[in-house]
Amino acid sequence: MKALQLKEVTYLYPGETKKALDEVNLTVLQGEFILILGPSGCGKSTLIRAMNGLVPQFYGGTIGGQILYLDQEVYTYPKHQLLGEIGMVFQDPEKQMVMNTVEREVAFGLENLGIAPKEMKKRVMEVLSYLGLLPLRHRELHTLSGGEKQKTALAAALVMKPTVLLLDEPTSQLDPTAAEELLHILHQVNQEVGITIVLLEQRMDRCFVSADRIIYMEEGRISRDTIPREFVQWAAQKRTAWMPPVAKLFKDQEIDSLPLTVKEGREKLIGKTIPTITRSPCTAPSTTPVLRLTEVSFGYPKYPLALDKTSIQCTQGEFICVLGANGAGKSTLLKLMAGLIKPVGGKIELLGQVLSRYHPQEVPKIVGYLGQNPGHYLFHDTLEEEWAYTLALLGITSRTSIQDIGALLHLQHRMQHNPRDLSGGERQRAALGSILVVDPQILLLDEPTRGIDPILKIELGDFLQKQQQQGKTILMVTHDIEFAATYSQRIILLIDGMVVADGLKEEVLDGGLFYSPQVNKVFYGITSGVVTVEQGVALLDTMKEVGG
Amino acid sequence: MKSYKNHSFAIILYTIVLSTLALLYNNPLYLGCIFCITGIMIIRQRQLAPWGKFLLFSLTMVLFYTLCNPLFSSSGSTILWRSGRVPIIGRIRITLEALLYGMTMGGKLITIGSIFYLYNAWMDTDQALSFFSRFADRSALLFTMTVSLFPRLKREALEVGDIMRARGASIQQGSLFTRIKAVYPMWKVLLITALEGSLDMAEAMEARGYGIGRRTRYQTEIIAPSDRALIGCTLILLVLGIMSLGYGSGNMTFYPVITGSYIPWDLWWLMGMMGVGIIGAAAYSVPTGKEEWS
Repeated sequence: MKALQLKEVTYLYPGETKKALDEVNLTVLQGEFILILGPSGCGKSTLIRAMNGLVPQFYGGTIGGQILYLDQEVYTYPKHQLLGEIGMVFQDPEKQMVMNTVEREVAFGLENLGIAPKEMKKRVMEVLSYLGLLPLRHRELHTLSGGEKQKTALAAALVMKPTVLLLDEPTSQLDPTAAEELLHILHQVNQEVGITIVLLEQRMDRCFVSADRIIYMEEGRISRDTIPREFVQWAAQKRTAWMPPVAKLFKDQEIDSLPLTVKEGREKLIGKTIPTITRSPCTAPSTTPVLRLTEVSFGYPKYPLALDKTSIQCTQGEFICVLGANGAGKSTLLKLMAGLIKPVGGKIELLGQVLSRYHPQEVPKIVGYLGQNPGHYLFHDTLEEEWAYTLALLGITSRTSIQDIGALLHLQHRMQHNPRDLSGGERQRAALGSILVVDPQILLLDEPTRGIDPILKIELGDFLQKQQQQGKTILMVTHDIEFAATYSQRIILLIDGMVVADGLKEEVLDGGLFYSPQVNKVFYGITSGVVTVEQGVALLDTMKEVGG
Repeated sequence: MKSYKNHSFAIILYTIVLSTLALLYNNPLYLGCIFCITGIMIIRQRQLAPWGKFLLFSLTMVLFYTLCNPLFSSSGSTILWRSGRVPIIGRIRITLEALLYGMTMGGKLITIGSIFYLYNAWMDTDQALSFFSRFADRSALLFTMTVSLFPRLKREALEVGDIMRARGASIQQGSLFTRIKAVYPMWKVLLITALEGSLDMAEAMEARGYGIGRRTRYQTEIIAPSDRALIGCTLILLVLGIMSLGYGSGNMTFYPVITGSYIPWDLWWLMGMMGVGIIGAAAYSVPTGKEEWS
């Protein structure tokens, strides 16, 4: 039975001339798990907002075509019934929370729908225990971790007893373990409760296993609507960036169908002889230390130490990724390195000199710090003014670097635009540009891949590698293990304020339960040290040559 | 977390009566009494340390009032100091009455500020929303959201401040002018971020059915004996306050000379009010049995 049906849906946001949705036709069956993919700005978010009537009822604009829920127009369907039956979870859990405590937040939607208190209590308690949130029910929301917040948002949607659940990149703010848990819950509610799931996701590699169908969108249109296995075959020919790493690994192998999961990937290796890898000893590009932390500790008031006697040394030209759960102290580490907060113990040295001895305006010329929210860097009327502002703050009169960085980041045609009007990927690059204009030797980047699509990730990764080749030291905090495995050389694993692993990516990412890329999991127990698709492909090619 | 310690009505009545009396009184003795009653209740909430910080910050305002009032008001008959002729302003006269008036007004401000502080420490925002939504659904939500916006903006401000410093802005160094100049863009970012955030929240609320019809309430508060005691004390306090004002005790005229203090009578009123205030603070009670589903 059809849950949702979109017929020739066309939509324009108010004041826009470009169609956000362009003659979209889509049918979602009851109980299906749909994964929607596509580059940033392709209309994915608009599409799911059209499904529950937020577009155009909240956003305004012009809509054409028909959107049916259970064969009835969504606009004529009783609104309180529709909002109860089509639940929605947004990208940023913090921005969707209205109340103060977990229990009240979950009950908020039910109160709005006028549900009787006794029924509300039953439903709230049931959903809280189903999601393991019962012990947290009295907790204030701002004290929760990112994963707990997103689970609360999911509970607030599930408590309405929806038949369809729309999710707009719900894992983009979460660490790998929390993201895995959330996706597992979604799989479970789809399988056990029969709720139809429509999921938008950029970290798609772990979603293929649950999805019944994949919708691929471009320029407001649906380019592909197919089952995951066929999608991967299509992507292998047309859109390789959208393949899960395990499928990329076998792309050029002569096999019937590409694997979608680690398990399927491992099955392809059964009976094959894998040669032992002899890895040439990899050394740091330089031995010149640019940043050194010696037994550094830091704590926020009323909390345990965020970092406890941490010692790290970064040498010139290194590309290091810092991994770890939310709240592990990763962002604190970057802020300490940028001189934004002072350690309570230990010593930080920048280019051989104690960091605290630098004049505060000297540090940004050496260390470029990019925070998590690019919006915090963008407040001038034009991009050119925005970048000139950094130069002016540091007393640099020459503006030649603005054009150079504009060209480097492919933003030269956007220099006279308001940076807030740029697309997601462009905003990220604009924020990066605002620190690059002063040509710092060290780049400290806090989750720059958050919420960006695979194509933009490749662009960012390639750009950072070029910067590294020019001698810059890059230290990047990320939850994206695949990105870290592909582009960095060294991984620091930070857990609960302590460095639990620090070394070459082939060592640190090898054989981990969560902190391992898909490719490594395919070779787990067979051979070690394979963490990137390229390494895996090279190994499979060797295998062919030896006749395995 | 804040537990539901008293019925919303009892908390609201208590803070309204205290703030009304603080607004009506001009006599520093009576203002001091209200301040003490408020302080006792804040201490009962175990909020002494953060309130101390608030008081420290507020002292600058008292100082400002105390210093500014005599400079701009030449009323009063007891001249403490007289300057020579100053261009434009003329002759400055510092009088005892103006000085005391400034101090009293500063004290009034601190007292009212403390009452608001008490309300914030005592009343849970979720509890407030439930209570007010019975009378004014949308306004209550708007108020609650505005209150909850401040901690979020504070976190955001710290983050933006770090970024500004990372770009080279001197928000903690240099002259006052340099710092103000550096902080201005920070406010700009905060304003834009807050506007974007409010749109996101409005969308999430719309998706969860806010405003489509009459709301029900998840939790229904019940009036416990401790609430009754607190409400009783509040009403006695109100009666005593009105009577003291009616007899002219709570008022004080500062200009041209200070008049209106009758210590023997005042002592009775003040002792009565303090006594009721202390009983009221004792009535502030345990969190058990206050959270109910109807």
